[in-house]
Amino acid sequence: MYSETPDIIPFPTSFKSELLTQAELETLKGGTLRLLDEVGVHFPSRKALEIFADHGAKVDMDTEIVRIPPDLVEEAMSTAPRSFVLGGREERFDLLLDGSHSYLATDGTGVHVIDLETREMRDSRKEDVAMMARVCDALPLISFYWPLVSAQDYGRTAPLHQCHAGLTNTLKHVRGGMTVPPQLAPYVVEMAMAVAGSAEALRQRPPICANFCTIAPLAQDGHSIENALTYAEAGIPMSFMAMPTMGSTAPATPLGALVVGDAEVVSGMVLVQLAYPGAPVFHSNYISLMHPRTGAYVAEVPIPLGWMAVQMAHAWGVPSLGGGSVSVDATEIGWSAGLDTGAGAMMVPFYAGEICGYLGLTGSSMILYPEHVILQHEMCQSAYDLLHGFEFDAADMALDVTAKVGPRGHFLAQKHTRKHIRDFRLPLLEQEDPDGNPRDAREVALEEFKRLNETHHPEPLPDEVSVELDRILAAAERVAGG
Amino acid sequence: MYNKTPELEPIVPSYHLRILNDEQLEQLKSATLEILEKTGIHCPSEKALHVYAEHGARVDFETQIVKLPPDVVLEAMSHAPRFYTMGARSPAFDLQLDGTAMYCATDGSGTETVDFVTRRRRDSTKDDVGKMARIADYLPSVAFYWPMVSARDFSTTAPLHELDASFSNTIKHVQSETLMGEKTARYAVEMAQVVAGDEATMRQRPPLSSLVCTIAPLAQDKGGLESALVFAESGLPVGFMSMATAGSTAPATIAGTIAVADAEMVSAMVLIQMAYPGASTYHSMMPGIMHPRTGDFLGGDWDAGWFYLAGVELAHMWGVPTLAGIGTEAPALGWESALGMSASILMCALCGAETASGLGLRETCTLLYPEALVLDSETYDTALFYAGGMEVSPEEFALDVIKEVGPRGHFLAQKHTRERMRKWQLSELVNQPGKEGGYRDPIEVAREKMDWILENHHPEPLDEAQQAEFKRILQAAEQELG
Repeated sequence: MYSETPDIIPFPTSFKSELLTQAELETLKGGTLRLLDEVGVHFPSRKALEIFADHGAKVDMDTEIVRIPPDLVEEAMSTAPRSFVLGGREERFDLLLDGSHSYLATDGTGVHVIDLETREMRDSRKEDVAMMARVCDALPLISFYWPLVSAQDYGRTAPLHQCHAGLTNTLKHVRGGMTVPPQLAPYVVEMAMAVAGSAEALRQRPPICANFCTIAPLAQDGHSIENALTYAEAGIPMSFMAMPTMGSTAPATPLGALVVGDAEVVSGMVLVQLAYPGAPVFHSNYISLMHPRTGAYVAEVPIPLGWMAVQMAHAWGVPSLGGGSVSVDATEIGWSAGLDTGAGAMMVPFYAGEICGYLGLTGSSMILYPEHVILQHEMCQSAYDLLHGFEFDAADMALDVTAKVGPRGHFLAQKHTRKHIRDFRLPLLEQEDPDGNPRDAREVALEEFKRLNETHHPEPLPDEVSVELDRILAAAERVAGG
Repeated sequence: MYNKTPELEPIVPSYHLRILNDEQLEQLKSATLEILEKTGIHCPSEKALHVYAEHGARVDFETQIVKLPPDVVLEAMSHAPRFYTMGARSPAFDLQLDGTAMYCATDGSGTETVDFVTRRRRDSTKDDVGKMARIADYLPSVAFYWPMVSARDFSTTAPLHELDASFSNTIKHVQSETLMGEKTARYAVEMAQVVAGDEATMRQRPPLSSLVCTIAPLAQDKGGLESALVFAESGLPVGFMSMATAGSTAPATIAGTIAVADAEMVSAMVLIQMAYPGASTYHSMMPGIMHPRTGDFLGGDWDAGWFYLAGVELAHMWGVPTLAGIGTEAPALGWESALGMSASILMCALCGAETASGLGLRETCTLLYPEALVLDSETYDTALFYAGGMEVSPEEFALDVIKEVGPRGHFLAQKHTRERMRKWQLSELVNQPGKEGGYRDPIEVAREKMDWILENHHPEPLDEAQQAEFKRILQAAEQELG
């Protein structure tokens, strides 16, 4: 027997707001086009350099710098689809990235785990990826599983094991593609194919997508770029994610960092479109700040750059990975983490990024407290309750009940009250102890996490698929080991 | 010598949110009109009953039930001003309620204080009101001051002592929610006139306003209404707040509770407009939900979010400004306390609220942790940043700097970086580097900031003549009321 996975609940984007005007977006795109044309991007991949050269980009094979004329950028980007599907195990878990909904994702990829039993910090392991996938499978607002932590108990094949732990422990879409040595990328494709059932099904409803981080400023990673070409050929969607840091790897001005990151992302998408026109790609630009005094990474910058990045994605005609985000810089689950969670959750429907949220980690995406995902999911549920729209009819106004009770009466004895008082969703975290004192929300969340961890076991993959995945992993291990 | 009060920082949203559509607003308006016409409200004030009767209401003097025909309601409400000024000691701190900005106040009327020094819970005092007024005076997020706690070291004159402590310790606008009865109100008006200097200035730029709570369901408080009439007569703004509770004092549906609450507030505003057409008034919807299992009042950020936002839009439909609810139900200062705060501030601002209150108390507005105001001020700043826009100027792209650095370089050695990094103003609370790496606990930093403000910030005092006049007023009040 297995547990039922609840339907996913995406946020509608009916409250979508525009921070930047079309003219401003064109100005920003102009900055990106100038950078791509005049400064260029470093592509340390012979294969990529040749594709660019074949399509008319200005390529310096020695320095590996590619400069892309604006016309070529525009032409390549015109073949990128504005909407596509990320598949789940069943169709009810498919994510249609067309701008009408925002789907919440988990955060990734942390390296430290606060152990569920010992409560000590330790290195993350594959079993953590699996445990989090199972628990997130039970949380309806999470639609997209990004392995929250790294399978550090595996070596070079860790990303494949993360993908495996995801695919075998949740029915939801898994971000299974990460940067691997190029000879391992075909195994990722094989795993996706095994779960999808066929090459055609993989293209129609890909059960995994990939993400590649660019290197700021204005550079690509050689393995990532070659992985991207392998995945694109198979029809696996991918995002390019820039993470420019103002002051160190990007100019210390927000717009400067925005265009640097944008140029990196667009250069990756252009390559993929030149090689495989129409391949599904999406855009992700995360701008952070170098702490002026300590040099530390500050992800929560007091400027709505995440929002601008979503609008830039849409201006390039592709979906966005990014939007309202509950990712927190604080290492502990305390006041500061609450602040970032509350504000971030409320921004989800405004920013209207297709994949966003990033639930579950602290310490700028480095530390996993398992119960944090429960706390953040609960806050996102509140944001959803508030912002998914409000419907009522004449009966809801209960004027007859009010007339019956009249001034200075009470509603406690009304049948209507007994019937409807249970309609209100009780906040999971607001509980009292036997003495009537409020319980610590974090303690309640930990209990809920443990309950789900013990009781929620989603439908496993068919036996033959599981066997096939094991075979693929074993083969990959041999290649990696060799 | 005194210190300059920092300029106010109201939230001027660059985008807006509509929660209810026109049809829904009309439905709710019809519900209010139907309740006022058919069920009526209880009004235990002879004076008010006569005002109602003289202006076309159907008044039963025995049961003290007032029924208001729709045309009488609409005619009266047509006199209520949509925009007006809430004054302060100096014009730079006046609040222009013109629909473009949201001004926030502290929370008010707590009954216990976590002592500034001993950190033990104790009854609140007049000294607490004064100290918190000084902290509020320093914080740009606080645009006007609600006496945060009750001056429990005084009895019947406590509300006047709260005003004394407030006006003596902040130059900002003061709003009281404890002035009950005609006599007390007249002393309060005298104090307001002392602050304003003369009656004409008091009417033009009233330094004091009042808030009166209705009694759910569908009843008014005698002392509250009679105090309100004095305020309106004197040209001081007076608003009405309903805290109807779904399930106990209102129907167990959101729409039903909104209808009951709205009817209570509108009936009181109608009275004010009948008696003093054109008097400044406002609408403040702050209902809650009865916890179905414990009977507790669930208000604050999570459960009752709809009430607050719908309330803003209803106020505007009736053509008056609103005092919106922001705040948190959290019992202490941790994760949950930051969670809902920034979200509720942001949502109310986006809905177009002119004013809001709720910064600084815990345990459902009853407990003062002095540092909570500093923490909540930080959540306000987060909302300010999310609500603000950003201008796009190509000079900010720093393309020349990016060209100089080029792909795979770094920006650390750039003059542009040195110049711009210094301009970053990171949060004083959440980005304070700790001695052993990481960041300091914001709650600890907030306590230090609170201590610093109390030691160093001494706003301009009332002049000697004003102080003497206050003393005389308080003595007279003591003799008459005490």
